[in-house]
Amino acid sequence: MWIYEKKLEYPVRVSQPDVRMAKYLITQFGGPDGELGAAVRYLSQRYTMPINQAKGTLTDIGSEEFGHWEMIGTMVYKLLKDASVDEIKKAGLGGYYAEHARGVYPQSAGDVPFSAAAFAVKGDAVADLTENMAAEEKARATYETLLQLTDDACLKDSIKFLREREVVHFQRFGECLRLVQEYNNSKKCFATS
Amino acid sequence: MDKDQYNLLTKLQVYQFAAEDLGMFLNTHPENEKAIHDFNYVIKKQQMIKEEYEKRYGPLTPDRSVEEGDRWRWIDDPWPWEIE
Repeated sequence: MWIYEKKLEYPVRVSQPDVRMAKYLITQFGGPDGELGAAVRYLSQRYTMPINQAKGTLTDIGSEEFGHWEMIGTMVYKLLKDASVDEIKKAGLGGYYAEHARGVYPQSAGDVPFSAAAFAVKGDAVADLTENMAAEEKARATYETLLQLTDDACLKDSIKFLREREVVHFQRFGECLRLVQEYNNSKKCFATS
Repeated sequence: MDKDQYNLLTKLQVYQFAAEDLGMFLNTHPENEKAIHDFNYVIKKQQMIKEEYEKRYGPLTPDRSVEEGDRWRWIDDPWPWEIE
C-alpha cells in the first residue's frame, strides 16, 4: 500500500523555460537509468530477498525513487510550461510536441519509451543487489552529465540533491549485499555430527 | 505560494527527509542507538510541523481533508509541481 503526500521530497525551482534541458532531463523520467525504472526495479526485486534488512531497504529506496520521479516530472513540466512552440521546434522537440504537446511522457533523451527491458529481476539476492549498486552509480553519472548541461543554479540545486541520493543508496545496497553474503555463509555446513 | 507557507513547507521537507534518511540507515543498522534516538527526535518534530502546516494550509493526505469545516480541500491548489 502506498500513501501519496502532496509535496515534493525536495524543492524544485527553475529560473526560466529551457526546452533543451527538458529534452535531456526527461531521460531520468523514463530512460534506462531513470527514476521510474529504479522504483519498479527495486519494488519488483524485494519479494524474493532472503533477509529483512534487504526487504526493508528495497521497499524504502523503491518508494523514495517515486518521489524522485515526481521531482524530475516537475522539472520537465516547469521547463516546458512557458516555452513557445517555436522554441520547442528549435530545440529539437518538435516530434515530441506533435505526440505529447507539453505533457510529460516517460521516455529516454533518445526518444525511446520507458521499458522494463533496461533492468533485471533475477530472483537472486546477490545478483539483484549487485545490479542495484551499478544502477545507482549509472544514475549518479547521468546526474553529473546533466549538471554539465545547464547553468541554471536553481535547477542545479535540485539535481545535486538527486545525485547525492544515488551515493547514499549505493551505500545502503552495499550494506545489504554484505549482510546477504553473511547470511548465505552462515548457512554453510562444514561439519555434521 | 506565499513566503510563510514556502518556509514552513521547506522546514517540513527538512525533517521528513531526515526521518527518511535515518530510517534507511536503520534498515541496515537496526541496533544503532544513536540513530534510533535521532530518528525519534526528527519524527516528533516532523509530526508537529506537519500538523501546523496542514492546519494552516490544507491537507497533505486525503484523510486529513475534512478535519475542519465541511469542504473537500484535498484538491485545492497548489499541487507539488505548481509551487513557484
